[in-house]
Amino acid sequence: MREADAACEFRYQLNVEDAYTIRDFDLVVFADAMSVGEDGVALTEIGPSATIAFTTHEMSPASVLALCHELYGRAPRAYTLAIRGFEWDMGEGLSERGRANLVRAADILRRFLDEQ
Amino acid sequence: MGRKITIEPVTRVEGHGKVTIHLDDAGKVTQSRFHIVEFRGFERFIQGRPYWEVPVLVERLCGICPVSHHLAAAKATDIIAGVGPGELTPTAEKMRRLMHYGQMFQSHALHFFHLASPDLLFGADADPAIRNVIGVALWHKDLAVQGVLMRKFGQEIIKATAGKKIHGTGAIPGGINKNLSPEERDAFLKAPDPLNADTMVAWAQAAVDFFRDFHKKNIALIDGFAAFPSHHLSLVRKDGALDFYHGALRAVDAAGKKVLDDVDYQDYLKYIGEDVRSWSYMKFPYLRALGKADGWYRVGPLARLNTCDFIPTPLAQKEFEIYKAYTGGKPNNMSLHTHWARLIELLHAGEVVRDLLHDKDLQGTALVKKGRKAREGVGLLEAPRGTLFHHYRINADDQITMANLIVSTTHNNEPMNRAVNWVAMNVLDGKKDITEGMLNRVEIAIRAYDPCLSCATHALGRMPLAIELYDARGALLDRKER
Repeated sequence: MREADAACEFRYQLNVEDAYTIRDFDLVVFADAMSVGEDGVALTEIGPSATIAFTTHEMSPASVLALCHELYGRAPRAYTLAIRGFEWDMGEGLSERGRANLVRAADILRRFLDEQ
Repeated sequence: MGRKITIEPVTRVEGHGKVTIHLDDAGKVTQSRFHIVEFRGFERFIQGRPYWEVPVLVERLCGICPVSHHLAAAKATDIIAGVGPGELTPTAEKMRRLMHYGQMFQSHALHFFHLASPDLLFGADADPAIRNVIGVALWHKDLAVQGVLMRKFGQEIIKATAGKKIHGTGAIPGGINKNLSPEERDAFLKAPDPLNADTMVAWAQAAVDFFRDFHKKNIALIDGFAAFPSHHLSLVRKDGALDFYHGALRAVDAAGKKVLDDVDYQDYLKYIGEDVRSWSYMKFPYLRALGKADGWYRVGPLARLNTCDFIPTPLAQKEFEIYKAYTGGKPNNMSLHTHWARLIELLHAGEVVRDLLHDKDLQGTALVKKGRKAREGVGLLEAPRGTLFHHYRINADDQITMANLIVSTTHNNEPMNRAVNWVAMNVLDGKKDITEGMLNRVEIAIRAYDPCLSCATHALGRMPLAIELYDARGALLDRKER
């Protein structure tokens, strides 16, 4: 995949307008920190799901896909890139293990996109 | 055996909340409460930080309404920096207003189209699987599309003025750190349909028309549901106009008599007290002149349209006149009319954004002023959910030594409890079977206030969600946890 074919956006949290944002893309990767689960990085394909989280503070990637599908008649192919983190108290910088996972995640993403 | 019914979490509000309803052995309601189970300590941990960090620190209270905190903190630290209200440069004042009205626009659109409309469109007894934003998209696609794009438009205004959509850095003590370039302005004024300011105003008008039509077909529900008398408080401009960004404090009683008027909010502590109760982390503000028991009040769209004398944009003013005529010019005390008031405010915000975008002062280059530093400052504005207070003190080293935040949802703590109690008494009382629709009516009552529970209690980290069932003697019968 050429760099010109990709766009990267930062979100504090996903919300309803992200259904509009992703509507014309063929592939979307939702990357985020993960606070539970095994150490490491997980790249997982996901599909639309109409299960709404109980508050709109957190619209899940799957529900954004579902809303996109309902509003615009299609939803892109989508993956989550979950990056395990370890220290969540207030402070600055990443933990060593978190930083190592971030580096690993960037490598996995780069190789994944090169395969598309 | 009496039962305690708990709804937890309350769906489609921001944050986490719990409702408990106590029934006696005959199934009659003895008590109902809206509990806030989160706790946050922003007022403590910003102490020691330099005051100029406050506008970007405290907005992290919330990911849904950070602009309100950003601007209220900026207004408070303006005073500390020696720049009083009305003393900002024209560019700074108008950039902040554009930021604020942009966030009012997107917040009100998000709330109505995606939080409240599922209940109105499908009814409180509808299948929960469709009574959400996906269901609105499925069955009322045009409405859902407009809601998404109105939210997006407002978020882009915020990005252009604050630097980022969430947790921006645009407002600083004494001013602003960027203006609006001609290119940024034209992106909003000249964008092809639908993402331009004129279309946003047209859609906001259509939203008001939609609600008025819905109201006509559902008068008993909209008028009767959780209607109860109360005082109302908001900021009002000097001439009595609705103004979200600045004004003086005004409070009216349920009949419209002014109980507070033209109060400089720097003196708020003389007029507003905060009560604490054992069963909630959220405080209970009250008007000191009326005491703790009787001094509670509503804030937000319903309150604002009860306290102001007029709306200074033509389309919203026309709707305001229709709205006021419905209650014969008297204050409106019907909880679900908050949605009507919110949509009139949506229209007003759209008109202000459109008109401000034509103001050449936004391209000005004088961004910041400085004055004689003070040790204390109070910043007040009308956030989407109601009046927001930020109050700070500093020491000789410019470090924060005291912070007091009274957020909109906290002001509405007692009203939300009253609304829950209304539903408990009128819908749940004496019933043998509790349906999902009955429980959803409790949530409808709370959702009318568009509460932001994270703001109200400064939650940190993950909160356990528990459902607890007690008998009339307080013995735990059952517990479920998410």
